[in-house]
Amino acid sequence: MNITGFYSNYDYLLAFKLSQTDQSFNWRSNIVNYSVKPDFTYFLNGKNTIRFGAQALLYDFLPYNATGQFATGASVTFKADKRYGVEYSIYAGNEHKILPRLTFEYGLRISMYNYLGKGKAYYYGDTLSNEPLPFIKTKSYSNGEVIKTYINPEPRFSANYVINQFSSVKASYNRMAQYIQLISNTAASTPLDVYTIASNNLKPLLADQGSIGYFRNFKENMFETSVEVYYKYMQNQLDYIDNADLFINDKVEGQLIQGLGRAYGAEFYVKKNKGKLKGWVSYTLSKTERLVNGISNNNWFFSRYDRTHCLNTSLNIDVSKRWNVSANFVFLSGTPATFPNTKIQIQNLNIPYNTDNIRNNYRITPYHRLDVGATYSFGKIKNGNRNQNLVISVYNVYNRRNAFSIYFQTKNGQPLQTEAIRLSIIGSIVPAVTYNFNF
Amino acid sequence: MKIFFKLLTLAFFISILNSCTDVVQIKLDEGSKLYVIDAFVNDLRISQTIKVVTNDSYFSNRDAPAVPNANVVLTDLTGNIQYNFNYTSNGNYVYNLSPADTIAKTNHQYKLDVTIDGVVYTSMATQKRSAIIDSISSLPNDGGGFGPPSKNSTFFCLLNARDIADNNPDYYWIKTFRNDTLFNGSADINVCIDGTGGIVTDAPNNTVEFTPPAIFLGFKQYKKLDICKVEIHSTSRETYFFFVQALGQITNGGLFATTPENVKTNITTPSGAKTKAVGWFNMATVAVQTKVVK
Repeated sequence: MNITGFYSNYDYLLAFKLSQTDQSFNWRSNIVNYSVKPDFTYFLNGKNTIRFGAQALLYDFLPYNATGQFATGASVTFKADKRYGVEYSIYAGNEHKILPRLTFEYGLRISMYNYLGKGKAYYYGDTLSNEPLPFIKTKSYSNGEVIKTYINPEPRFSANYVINQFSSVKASYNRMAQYIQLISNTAASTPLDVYTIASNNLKPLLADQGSIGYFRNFKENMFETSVEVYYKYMQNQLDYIDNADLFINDKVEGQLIQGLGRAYGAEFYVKKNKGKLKGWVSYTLSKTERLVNGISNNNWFFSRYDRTHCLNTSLNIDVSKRWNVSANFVFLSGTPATFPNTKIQIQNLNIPYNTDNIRNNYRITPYHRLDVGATYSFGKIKNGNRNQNLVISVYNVYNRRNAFSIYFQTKNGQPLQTEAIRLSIIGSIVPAVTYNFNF
Repeated sequence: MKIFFKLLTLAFFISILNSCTDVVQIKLDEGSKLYVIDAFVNDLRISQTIKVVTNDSYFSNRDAPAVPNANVVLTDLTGNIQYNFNYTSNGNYVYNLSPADTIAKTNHQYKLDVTIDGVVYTSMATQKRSAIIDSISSLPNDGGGFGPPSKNSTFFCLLNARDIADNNPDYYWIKTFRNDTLFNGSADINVCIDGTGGIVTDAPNNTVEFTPPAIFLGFKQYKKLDICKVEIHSTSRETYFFFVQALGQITNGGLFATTPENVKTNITTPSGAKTKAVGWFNMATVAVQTKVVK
């Protein structure tokens, strides 16, 4: 038996002060989790290993607590009520060696989630798709009172067949229920994208994923290779209506909508384990889409996270006994983004407009970057290695200004002129020198 | 108020991220053709203009292409009077009136019909009441109040006005002029609810006075003897949120830029029309005040 308990406190904080006017703004959101998880392993016989257990996970979630101070010294506070949820689960599974070369793993997890008081639950009416839901009422619940319950069975199955000592085939299917989801309508991911828990308005995310892969080693395990294809289907994926106001909004759930998602692709991997030159290359060809009623003319559209091509390489070579040179290269297709395809002029405002009304209709430019490094080892030999080394590295060798996002604006002081702006987070070469030692 | 701090946050991050930005050339597809109807009519005793143009390439730097063949009719449904607007140039359809006349009356309901190639695009609006301007005061720019210190003798202006206090929320668009020139940049659009300047919630506050206790008219500097003019245009609730949305789309940049969205329109395109019309129609009651700065 193994018992795990944990506590985590995930804080987001945004704070700044303008010294010129003494205006300031502080915003905080956090998620606290408490969990206890006993696990049991029972070796039934040489062919069956049974694992079972349970978990209780409490979510203590503060959507926002913001304080703003005016130049006059007056201040104002916006604080959302805390929200609570608890997830109970039990699971049991068996690792079953059917044949010497064939192993099955199968099991079932049943999760039950309660959206709890103390707090207010918000109730909304129905409306047209892609419009804010009309707010009807709030209802107060006492401490620990159940507002809404969800129960989800989560089956899982995997099979591993060893063809010979160099190759094997693996296949798997699993269903997962997730009671916390990201809410964001930013054009690109930011560290301040906040999460929300399932509630009386927001159903938990359900994901079904299947995959099958072929694994093979070559030249006495000098090379490891694999190819794997996967398909994932998601229900109740959280999205937002056009013009949603997700930041400091107690009625944010009226601006969120849930839809379907799907992701599928193929992953290829090659790794060289031996010799002077070592390293690996991975490539993924994939597609990630969403279907949400009222968005993008009710058609599937690319998710913000879609990356058609994703190539990662990491190589290192022992040039001499003391010198090792390494290089990493990454290439990612540009993420989908919504760009205007025209503009309309109203009251001297140049307003961007998308006549196709399709979300994520363009892609920002691809992301690619090369990092190189050289390591010089010296000092005493300890466990077969030198105990000191100096690493000289260069991040983003060819100084590419990869776009984090692209946005559109009217030129400052020129109301008729519009332009596209590329925002880069680290858009320059970053050299570094590191000294390491072991003692 | 929330939007005030949201905009402050946005401005802060745009400023610190400015060095990470550069202008890039993007090839955008051409959007399909739209008619754009810009109909903001008011009760000022001046010629009233409704603009009918088309959309344009996003990166074009010209006035929008005019639609010269439209038939523009404004109907006062309450007074049962029709006003025919005549085309002049650049997509402008004008109704000329005498200085003693107005076509816009508070609490009247209006219908706009714009006919292009036989297709009638329509919109409805009710003219709301405006606020009461008490005065405009000027504030020397000594650096101690608002904005950075200035060696020149310049002034800022403050608007002292009153909202009509009852249970009906009022929505205003405050336009500011210097020597009859309107500050018309996107940053100069100043809309508010019930006179709560810069404080934007959808709940009516029903304040008697505009708060805090006057509305600061931006960091616009006036010289001695300049004329500061303020117009408070009444808007519908929908017009107010149209401006909030439009401004959000125009200033939607930086690390926290949201996914762009099409602004709403209150122009109705009949089903089966080959070309869609977008735009906005608002009827305004206007309160005006001027001050010679000194």
